[in-house]
Parts: sequence; C-alpha cells; structure tokens
Amino acid sequence: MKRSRLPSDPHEPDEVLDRRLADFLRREAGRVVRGRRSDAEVVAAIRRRVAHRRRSAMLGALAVAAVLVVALVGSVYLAGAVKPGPALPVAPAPTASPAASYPRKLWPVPTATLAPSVAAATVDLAGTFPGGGLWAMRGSAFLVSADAGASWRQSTLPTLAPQSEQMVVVLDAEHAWYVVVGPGASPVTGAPTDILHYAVYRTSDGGRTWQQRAVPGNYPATAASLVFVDPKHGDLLCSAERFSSGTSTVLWTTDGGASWQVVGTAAWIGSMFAASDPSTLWAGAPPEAGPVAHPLLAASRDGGRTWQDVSLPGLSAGLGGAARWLAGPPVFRDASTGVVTVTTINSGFHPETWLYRTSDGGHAWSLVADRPMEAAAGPALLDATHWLLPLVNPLGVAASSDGGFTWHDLGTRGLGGVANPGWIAWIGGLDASHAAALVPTGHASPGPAALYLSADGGASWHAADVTGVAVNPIASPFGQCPHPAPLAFDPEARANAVAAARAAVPTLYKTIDTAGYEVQVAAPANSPPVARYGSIVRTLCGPLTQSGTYVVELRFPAMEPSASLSQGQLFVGRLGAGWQVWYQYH
Amino acid sequence: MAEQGPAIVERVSQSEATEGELRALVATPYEQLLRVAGLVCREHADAEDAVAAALERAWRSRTALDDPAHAAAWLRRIVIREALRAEGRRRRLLGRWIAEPSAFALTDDPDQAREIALREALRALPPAQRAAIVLHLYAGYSVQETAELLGVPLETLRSRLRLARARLREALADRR
Repeated sequence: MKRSRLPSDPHEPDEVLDRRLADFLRREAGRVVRGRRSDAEVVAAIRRRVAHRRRSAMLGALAVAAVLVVALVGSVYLAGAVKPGPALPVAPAPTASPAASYPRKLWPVPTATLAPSVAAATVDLAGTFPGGGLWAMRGSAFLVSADAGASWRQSTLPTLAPQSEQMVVVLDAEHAWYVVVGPGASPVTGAPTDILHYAVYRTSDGGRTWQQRAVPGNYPATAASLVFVDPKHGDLLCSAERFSSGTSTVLWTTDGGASWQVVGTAAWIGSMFAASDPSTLWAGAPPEAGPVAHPLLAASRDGGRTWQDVSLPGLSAGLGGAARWLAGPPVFRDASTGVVTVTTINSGFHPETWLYRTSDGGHAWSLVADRPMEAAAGPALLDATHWLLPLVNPLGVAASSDGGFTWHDLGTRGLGGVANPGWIAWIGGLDASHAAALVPTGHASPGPAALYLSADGGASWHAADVTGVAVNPIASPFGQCPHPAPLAFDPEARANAVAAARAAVPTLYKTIDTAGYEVQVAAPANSPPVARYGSIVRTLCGPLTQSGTYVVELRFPAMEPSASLSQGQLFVGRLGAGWQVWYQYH
Repeated sequence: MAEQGPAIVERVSQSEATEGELRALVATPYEQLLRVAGLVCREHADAEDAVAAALERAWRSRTALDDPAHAAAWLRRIVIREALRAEGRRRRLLGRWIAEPSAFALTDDPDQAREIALREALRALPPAQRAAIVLHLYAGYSVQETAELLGVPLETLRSRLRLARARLREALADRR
C-alpha cells in the first residue's frame, strides 16, 4: 500500500494508521448506540414516514391529473374548438377547506423547521396579560407593552435566576409577580430529591420597585406555578408530581403576595396550573408527568383545599390510553369560558391533540375541533371565536374562527427560514387580530426564544422590535456579577479553569452521582463552541464578564440516560489571584 | 458484523406492516445499522433518522432484493445513502445556522486527547470521505466493495481514502 507523504508523520505506514483508525471507529460505534431511540419510537418514526410518503404520492397524483386537465383544455382551446368569451371579473382564488387540505389521521413527518430570523429579538420568557398586554423578560430586563409590541416600557428584575427556576405572572401593566427558588434551597436538579422553598417578588408600579416575600415552608417540588386572578388573590402550586408521594402543596395569598398560607395538599395533581376565578383552580398533567396513575385534569372549587378529577368525554373510551397530558395549562377567557388541550398517543404511536371547551365554568366539557392535531402548546384565544394553535405536525399555526370547531392551517409566514431546531413554543392572543409567538433559538426548554408578532390573526408574523432595549447587568444568583480578568493568551488558562470546575464539582453536584464524570468542553465564553452559554453569560453580566469567563461543560455518565441530570455547565473566571466557578448554569 | 439478513428480509417482506412485524424489523438490525449511520452522521439525531428512513425504504423496495443472503449489505447500502442524504441536508439547510460542533475538551490524558482529536477530525471530514473510511475500516469492506457500495469509481474511492487518511493523520500528529 502506498505510504502517506504527509510530513506530519512520515514514518507511520498506512496499515498501522488503518489499524488505529479501525480501533477508534469501533469505540466510537459503541458510543453511538448509547441513548438510542426505543424500538417503539423507531416504529413510530417509520409509520410517520410511510404516512408522509402516501400523502406525497396522493398529492403527486393530483398534480399530474391537474397538469393533464390543463393540457387537455389548452389543446382544445388552441385548436379553436372554444372561443374565448368576454373577460370576467377575477374572483379571489378559492381556499381549500380544512378537511381537504389536512386529511384526518394523516401525520406527515415535518419536512421543515423554523429558524428564528437573525433580526428577531431574543427573549427568555414572554406572555400576555388581560387587556391586550404583552410582557417579556430579556436577561434582567422586564419589558411590558400595552400596545401589542409597538412600544415597550423597560424595568429591571429584582434578581435573576436560571430559567427553569423562575416564573412570572403579569396581571396588568402595573401588577406583576416573580417567583424564584429561594436562597438556601437545595440545588435544583429536577430530581425527586429537591426540597425547595420560594421567594415571591411583587410589583404594583410596573416594575419600578419590587418587594420580596419568602413563601413559608419547604416543599418537595420540581416546579412552582403561580396564578393571580386579581391584584389581591393569588395561588402558588408547589408541584411534586415526580415524587414518589406525588404530594403537591397549594398556598394562597389574599393581600397581593405580602403573605402566603398553605391552603391544602393534593396527591398527583399536575403542574399545568390555572385559575378561572378566585376560588376555582385547575391543575393538569404536563408531558413530563410520566406514566403514573395521575388524573389528567383536576379542579378545586374551594381555592385549593380539596381537588376532584375532571371528566373529559371520550378519554375514558380510549383516546390515548394512559399516555396523555395537557399541551398547555387550561386557558380561560373569563370565569365561564375555557379550553383545555389534551395530547394523547394513539395506537400507532402518533400524538394527537384534542380540544375541550366549557362555557359553564368547567362543570361540563365538550370535545371540539373537527380533527385531531399535534399541538406544541395550548391555544391562544384572540377573542371568543378566533383561536390560534401552534402545531408540530404540520409545523405552523392553525386557526379557528368558530371557537375551535373547525381549523385551517395558516403556515409559518414570517416566522423564520428553514433550519433547526424550529418549533413554535407558545402563542398568546392579544386582541381579535394581534398575537405573539415564541420560536426557541436552541434546544433548551425553557430557553432563549425569538419573539414574533402578528397583526392579522396569525396569517403573517414579524419579529418584535425589542433590540433597542438595553440589558442591565445585575447580580447573579450567587452574588454580584463578577469581574474576572480578561482572558489573554495564556496556555494555562484552560487548565486552570478546568481545575477550578473540578474542584467545585463535589460541592455543586452533591445530590447526584458524579462517578466517572468527564469534562466535555472547556472554552472561552465568547467562542463558538459554547456560543449558547456565552450569550447567557453576556445576558447575566454583560460583555466584560463574558470576556473573562470560561464555560466548562460536564457529563455525568452515571446519571444517564437522564438528559437533564447527566450534564452540567459551569462559568469560571479568574477572580483576584485564583480561578473560581462564579455561576452554575445546570 | 453478524449476518442478520435473511431473517430481516423475511420479516420485511410481509405485505402488511403490523405492529409486531414493524417491531421485529426494528429489533434485530437497528443497532448495527445505527452504528454505521452514527459514524457517518455528525449528529446523533440524523443517524437515527437515517436508519428509520432506510428501514422504511427497505420495506417499500423489498421486492428489489433478489437474494436474501445479501440482505444485510443491501440494508447497509440504503442506510449509507440515507446517512449521506441527511448529512447533505444538514449542511445545505443548517450549515449557516449551527456552528460546527467542536470538542475543545481538555484532558491531561494523552490517549483521551488523541481520541477527542480524532473524533473532531472525523466529524470535520466531508461526508463522502467519512463514509469511505467508515465502510472500509469499520464495516470491513474492501476498497472495491466500498466503491461499489458508494457507487463511485475505484480511483475516486481511493482518492477519498487517501485524503481522509491524510486529515486524520494530521489530527493525530497534532496531538503527539
């Protein structure tokens, strides 16, 4: 065999190199199958492809038939058999009926995904509030718009927490609440060992000033959900759906969050939390609830003291068996009218989303929608009859103009190009024609997302303009923002950063099994390999801190296959004489 | 690789895909095929998609297989094509949105450092070169067989192998 003429290693024959490469490839192949999809998932993927191909073939046949018809008519016309008549006024092109454009039980594989426009503003969280208001969080900036995103008023959040550990409720342009995991709580791992307590910040002047109140008690919890129905009455659900006991706690306030009292506890109620009036609460199972014998939807008519399962017609008759959850929290327009969005897995492993609506405050629910869809989240109610729904399959926005009974696809006009990861995580209704949508910019959930606005009922979208809003550096959860020394060329910097991260691992990850952990990536926070975390550093503490920070990514093989527990990210910088971890992202 | 072909094709060639048959189709060859696809694709999800697409395609084209004894190679060929297609799609559609993955890992262990460097170098190879290396050195096909599998002339394949070796050798040399 011919010898390589590369100067890098002129003495190693190809045969030797090949043996080394073959050994390496065998080891790599072993890595590949770790964490593979389950057989059921693969079967479901194949089925989707089969369905997609059949649909494409059907459309192709229709297209061929259409071409033949056009050709036939054209040839007849050219032959003079038909003389052109007087010109007629051009009628608008007919639109396909929903049923025709989207056959029932046909689940095409998504062929396109959305990439946020490069011009789109990225926010961390966003939501709507009654009266057509829109809010967003971007780093430490808290943004409120009362004119459907045309202008924004900015204030600063009182503290900043990782996205998975915070929640915002905005009631109107003045009243908002911000819940974070309280200082001193155990690190949030998402595991059923977390004992958390919470702090609630509230503002009644649009974010200019915030008051902090600690929520009394510690709760086994994996998530906190907060609702406010008016400036005084609110409820906090410390959800423990993933714990063996499954016992969640409900607290309430009657003074706008100044004080909190435990109202009651309930087993196996989900974290999809909503309130339709001060005493009526709803809790539904989220997707990650797992295959436990939890009720899909529970209601409390006494402010959270007692809970009862809610009967949704059709589900007990086999819509999805045990695998079902809410695509989003129940949505109520008022105390009487509400919608819940239920996703089930059918016998062919296809997710199907069903919509139920009530007009009597939730005493009776009826199945609406002319077809099952695969929704990414719950619906946006623009008004009593105009609703929007973010779809996964086919990717895009579905619209109903009759209160959810019939739906048609609006596509994704203006929501970005074609790229990864691409899905619409949320749509919120502002008024009869205005809506907002979030398209995540990464795979993290929750994570940064591009904010889009529509002024025509979801038919087209444009990027929200919040780019002029400055992001204020603010204290990180571990104290003030650090000012590490800028990273100059230093051959030992990386090793020092890794050493600091390794030294911190036993303390920071003491609730998980770190045996055999490895450092996967260690790179400057402003370098491409860690661009995602670099932007978080920048958001948290600004570009100067970013320029002095290393991002160290860790992998904990003992915690696999859990995606959330098997990884860690630490932000490390040279502070004073030594290197220190200044932030634990995960 | 273990020859699982005839049994697979027998299952595949059932006229209707029942749940059990589909599961049987997936159960036997999936990991073998995933290993090959996973070495060709840079993203794990692409590899999984490529194998699913290949199994679906194999199901549809089952009558094209004359000799069930060749089923494993036949399936592998389809997987390779789907994997290359997935790679092309990723580069075409996502290249400007997603930064090329990079290890940037640190380790004091020289063996581990070489492993990381090789992994990076393999992922940095053009997909056609990567597929050539994987089929020849991992799947054990001769140069001639690899050329036939990839549907390229022998000299083209040799050239790809030569270039791929050079790049991988370079990666190893940098870590000496």
